[in-house]
Amino acid sequence: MTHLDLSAIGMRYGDNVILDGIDLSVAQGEMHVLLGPSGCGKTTLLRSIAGLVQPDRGAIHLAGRAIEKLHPKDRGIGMVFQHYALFPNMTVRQNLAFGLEQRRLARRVIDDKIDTVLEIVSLQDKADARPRQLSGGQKQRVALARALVLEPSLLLLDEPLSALDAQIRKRLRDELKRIQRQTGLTSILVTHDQDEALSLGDRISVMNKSRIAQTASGPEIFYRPADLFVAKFIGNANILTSDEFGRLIGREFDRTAVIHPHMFKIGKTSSDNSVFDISARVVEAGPAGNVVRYVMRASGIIFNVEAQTAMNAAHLVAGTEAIVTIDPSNAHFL
Amino acid sequence: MTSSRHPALTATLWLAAILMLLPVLATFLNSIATGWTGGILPNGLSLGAYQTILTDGRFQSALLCSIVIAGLALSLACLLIVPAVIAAHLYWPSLDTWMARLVILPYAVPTIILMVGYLRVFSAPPLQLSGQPIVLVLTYVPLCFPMFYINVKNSLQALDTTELLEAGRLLGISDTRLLRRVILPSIFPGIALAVVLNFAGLMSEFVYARMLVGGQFETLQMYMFAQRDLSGRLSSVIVIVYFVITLLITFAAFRLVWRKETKS
Repeated sequence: MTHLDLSAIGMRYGDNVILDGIDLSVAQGEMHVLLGPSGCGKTTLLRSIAGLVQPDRGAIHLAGRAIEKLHPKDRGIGMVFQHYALFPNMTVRQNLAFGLEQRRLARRVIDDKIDTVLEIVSLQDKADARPRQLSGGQKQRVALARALVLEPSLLLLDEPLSALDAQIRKRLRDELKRIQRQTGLTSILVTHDQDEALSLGDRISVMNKSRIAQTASGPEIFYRPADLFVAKFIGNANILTSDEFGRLIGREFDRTAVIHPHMFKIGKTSSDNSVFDISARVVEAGPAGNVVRYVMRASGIIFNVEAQTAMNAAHLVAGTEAIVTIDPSNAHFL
Repeated sequence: MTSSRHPALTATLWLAAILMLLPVLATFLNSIATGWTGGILPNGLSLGAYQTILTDGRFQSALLCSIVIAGLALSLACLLIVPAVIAAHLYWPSLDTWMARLVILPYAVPTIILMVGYLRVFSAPPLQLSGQPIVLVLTYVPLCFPMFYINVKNSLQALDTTELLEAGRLLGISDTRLLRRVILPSIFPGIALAVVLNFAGLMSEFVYARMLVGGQFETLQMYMFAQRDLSGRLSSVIVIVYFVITLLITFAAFRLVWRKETKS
């Protein structure tokens, strides 16, 4: 069931088009990710939904209600900011209570709500700490709790993990996913990090130049990109022109091929007619933990191949000849 | 970083501290000396000079005048400058660049030119106030502007006010309420620092006081100036008294900041 519906959202700033007719539907309980390079309009779109900026045209419906003309506080939306935006002079509890106090709730009700939310983000013992006493990850969890405590109907997350270091980012990502599942809250997360998008998003909208290039599930975006931009932006697939791919498999070919490095298999597999053998030379070999990344050359074309490693299995070294096979049904063509 | 690892740095710090304390110590020593000739230390010690000064009615009224004038000027500065700097920072960034340029004005314009200007402004209607203490209060306010601007601005920049206001809007907290409950308390230490620094500056101000209200009204510095021929000892006493008052105000301000930080 559609929970949030955007139609024809448009916005320009002078001669610059910031949002160019955005249509998007987000289902109830969905974690939707807006992914794109900086300047693609993803943050502006999020801020339009929140009501922090006013688009020139378009309609926004949340739970069946038109909200595009409402004040941010009346939209029923919670938001987590990139740099936390915690109130520095207040304790965690006061940060959470500040919004609730505006609703003239009884003190006991406020305290109960805060305790519940603090438990969800596992910060019960930090209720009386001030923001400066918390780590980055804890601050971001407080920011999340502050948005959750108002029981919004939609949660917006603006690059919530980008200010954290890698280890904490990974942990908080899992936790974010858990909390989103637990609360069943419809959420939109903005990021420029494809790993984050692929691991968090039920569906992903890849944005490019003020438009949505593709909206689909993670695997579909990854394996079946809608256009060249999405193909280049997600993963590090080999993108071979029709001519290059034709030379590689020794046939005439008329479309661009998108082939992920792990789709190439090393070694002759079978005499299956649908699989093409390519004799290539290893140019570079880079073992990296569980995978080894090769750069190979065949018919003057350079391409990347990725293979699994094992403790006692030697990998190919640079300079060796190898047969790699490709099954075109594993590739994607544009 | 331990001090033992950087003996040269530690020595520099001590040297700087001694260098800064030496004039104060020497002044203090002079203020309690009975005489100071022919040796590196005073001939004898006495608190006589303090008694002379502190019981002098003229000194008491001069001190009171200085404190009242500085207090009024600082209150006015807080009421006018702080809201202006905050408003420009939050809502009119283009105005803010102009404020940044205006900051140097009180220093850039030679004092004598300012004085002539002030004397003319305050000698004709509608501001015919020449010679009245209120003139001193009014002219001290712009003098406070740079210190207030720099301190308030720095505190605001450390806050990321735009995000705080936006977070507030989504939580249903009005800008005014957020300013009162979050932004003002957070920049309070900066304001307190500006008040303390300006207070010290205003207490030792002489040129404005002499030129604008010289005849009718005696501030601490003018009293000191009048005593210049009597004895260096008395001047030392006045300087020490003035120094102690500034110190007390500084402590009071920091205590206030500290209490605010740890409260509730």
